[in-house]
Amino acid sequence: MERLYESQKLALWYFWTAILLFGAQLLFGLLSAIQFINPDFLYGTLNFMTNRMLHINAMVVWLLMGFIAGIYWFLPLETGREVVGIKLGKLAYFAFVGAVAVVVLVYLFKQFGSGDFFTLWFITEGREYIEAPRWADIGIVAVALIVAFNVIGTAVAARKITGILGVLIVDLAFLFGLYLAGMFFTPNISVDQFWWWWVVHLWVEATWEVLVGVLMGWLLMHLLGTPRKIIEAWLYVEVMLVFGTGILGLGHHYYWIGTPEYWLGIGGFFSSLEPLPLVAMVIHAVYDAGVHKLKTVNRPALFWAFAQAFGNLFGAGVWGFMHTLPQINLFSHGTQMAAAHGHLAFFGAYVSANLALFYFALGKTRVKEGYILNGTPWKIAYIGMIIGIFGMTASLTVAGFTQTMIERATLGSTWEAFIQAQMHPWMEAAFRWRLLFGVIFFLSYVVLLYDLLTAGKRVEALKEAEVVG
Amino acid sequence: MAETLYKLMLYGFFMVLFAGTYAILYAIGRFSGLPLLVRISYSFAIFQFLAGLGMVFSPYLDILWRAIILFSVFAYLFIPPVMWKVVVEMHRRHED
Amino acid sequence: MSIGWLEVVVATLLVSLVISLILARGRHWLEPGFWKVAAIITSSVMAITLVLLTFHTVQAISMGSKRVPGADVINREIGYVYNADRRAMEPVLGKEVGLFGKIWSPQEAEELIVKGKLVIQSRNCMDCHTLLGNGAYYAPDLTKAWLDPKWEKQAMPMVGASSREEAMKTWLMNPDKYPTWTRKMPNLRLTEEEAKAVVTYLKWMSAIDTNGFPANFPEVQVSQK
Repeated sequence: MERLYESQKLALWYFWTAILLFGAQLLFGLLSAIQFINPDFLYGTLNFMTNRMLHINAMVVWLLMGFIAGIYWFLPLETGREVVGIKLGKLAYFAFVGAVAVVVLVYLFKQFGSGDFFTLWFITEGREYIEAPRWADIGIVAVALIVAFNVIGTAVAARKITGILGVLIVDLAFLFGLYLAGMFFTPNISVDQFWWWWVVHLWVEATWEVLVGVLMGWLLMHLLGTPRKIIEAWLYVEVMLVFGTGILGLGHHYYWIGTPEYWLGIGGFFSSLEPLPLVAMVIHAVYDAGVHKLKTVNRPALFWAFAQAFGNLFGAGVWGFMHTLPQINLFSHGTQMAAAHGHLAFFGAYVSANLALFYFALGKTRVKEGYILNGTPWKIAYIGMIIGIFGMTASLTVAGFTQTMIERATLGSTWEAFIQAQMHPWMEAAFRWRLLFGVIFFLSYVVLLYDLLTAGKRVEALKEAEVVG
Repeated sequence: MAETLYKLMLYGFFMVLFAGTYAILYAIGRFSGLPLLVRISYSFAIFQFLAGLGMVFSPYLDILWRAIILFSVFAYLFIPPVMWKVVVEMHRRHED
Repeated sequence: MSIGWLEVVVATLLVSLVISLILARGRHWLEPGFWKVAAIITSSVMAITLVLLTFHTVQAISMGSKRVPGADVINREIGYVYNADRRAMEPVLGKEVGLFGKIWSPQEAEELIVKGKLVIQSRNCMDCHTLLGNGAYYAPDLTKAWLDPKWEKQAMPMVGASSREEAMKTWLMNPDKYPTWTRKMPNLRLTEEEAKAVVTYLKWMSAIDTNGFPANFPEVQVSQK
């Protein structure tokens, strides 16, 4: 076991908090899934809107915390020194956790407010994914600035700027700068959604992808010993493809919100190219797997890293492409199709990445030199989660197809058409299957939690010939 | 309308699904030196091509979009081998 | 100014490629430096293009533009019809009919719309409904809710109102009392003023030109001016 930097201890705090919020995300997801089947469940007490808001907000926050953890873990390794503002970083952690707790309590017990600016500042901003009230927005920006300060400051103090650090710094600047685009009020909903997508799309389909590219690059370097030059060259290829397709791919959200018609073509074209970087990642992952014959000192980290490459391709690539052309999207936009795509894409691209990073950190803290982190529980959680997420995605895809065909293409997109589609037996069955697979996913999470808590107890002695790199 | 749309979505889904399968099998086949797997991967290349053609022949799309899709299914036949070559060359150059 | 999408696509790709190749000349294509140049140039070209298009788009969707109506549109009759030339449905405006039995001045109308938006955000509407197709999928899309036939067919007789806007207002204040299906909207304690503002907002939103979304919606004609 290596001596840990303070920064890495902070990373572990972030990881644990993230994993607990992951549980909260799943819990509120389950409640929402039950309400699709039995709308009277918790009606009036904890309405669908509250559960759903907590479901997606918990996700955004825990993924961000996982990324911050990844940054704090690798930063001292990359620069060879302690992070400069470690005390500030720890302070920011407590402020972040405290703010999240207050926001969640207000969401749970206040739920909504009257139609004025007080509500927007202190209860909810009511904009999907970034509902967090304005005071919390400012807090998030402050935390983000501290992270950015620590990254830049540490690099400067170490007089070392690697290619990976360069990409990280530029990406962080974009990532947190974009958040500001979501912090204003306008009565014009077209303008509102125009900027709202700057945050949501340019995070999820551009800056987060690159951030995960950086973290996965570090992970592969430390886990498999991939040479830095390859990691850096490949990271640049990824940046070129992700930003090259993803920035104007933003256009696929500008088809129907009142924005001009040229977005139909621009969005359709560039978002059709968005699977390209994902194919590239998968091919590289297969190469790495081949070189190392899947042998490392940390099996779960490696397997979650592969799940990331494959899940990203299927969730973002396959499920994204299916409804990205404007001619199709005209009918599928705003149906369960988007939910199907969202579930698999977030899991593949980001959940897997965070779990890989967390397992890697645990391996470093809990497993002695000469031993392999392995065992049965992580495999159960791994397989269970993959079955769960694919099952949910498949169910929601059936629901999405049904809704697109019946509500949109046949009955004409009205209130009544919506009800008729939702009552269709295929749709009702799909929602039941989704709950079943949701339960499987949740049980797998419990196994995962158990494994994370006890990881380090199940180790195997390292046989020298087995491990390459 | 529903019929056209349903087919179009399904073709799009299979196009990228087969494209991904082609890339994965091709890479595994090349790495493990299994020519059979590489040959199987080519059949997925053909499947993605056919699924793409399904979109191209849909009466619903404009001629320009059909041309773009036709071009991309052609281009995609070569993308996995090219990417594979880039990865291999990069490792060869920097690992020696 | 009209912008052709194909020109934008071809230009951005070509410019990225040419500048990258010029600046990266002399570097071996397997070196990180080669791809670093390509990454920086491609990202910059795309980002700059996005910023330029943003200037144009934000102008094109300001309130009172051709695509997004001004606040006083709430006084007009609003329809939604198929335009064969565009091959898409689009909103049409008819004669002045007022709302809630009065004609609103542009300033009053704007205040109502600001209020409506605040209410919509404060009640987390988007965590069940979609607006312009974005939001959650638990409840119907509200893009053209103002034009929905259900208000006249079911809601007006159900709540005993004499006009569509009155029916919407009463329904919004007591959604739990007037269920239309097993999934009932919870009572979000809208005041009368808030409910009126939301109805106004929905009417205004139905006049936004959304490139034909939602498609297939039953046509709503307006009487001639």
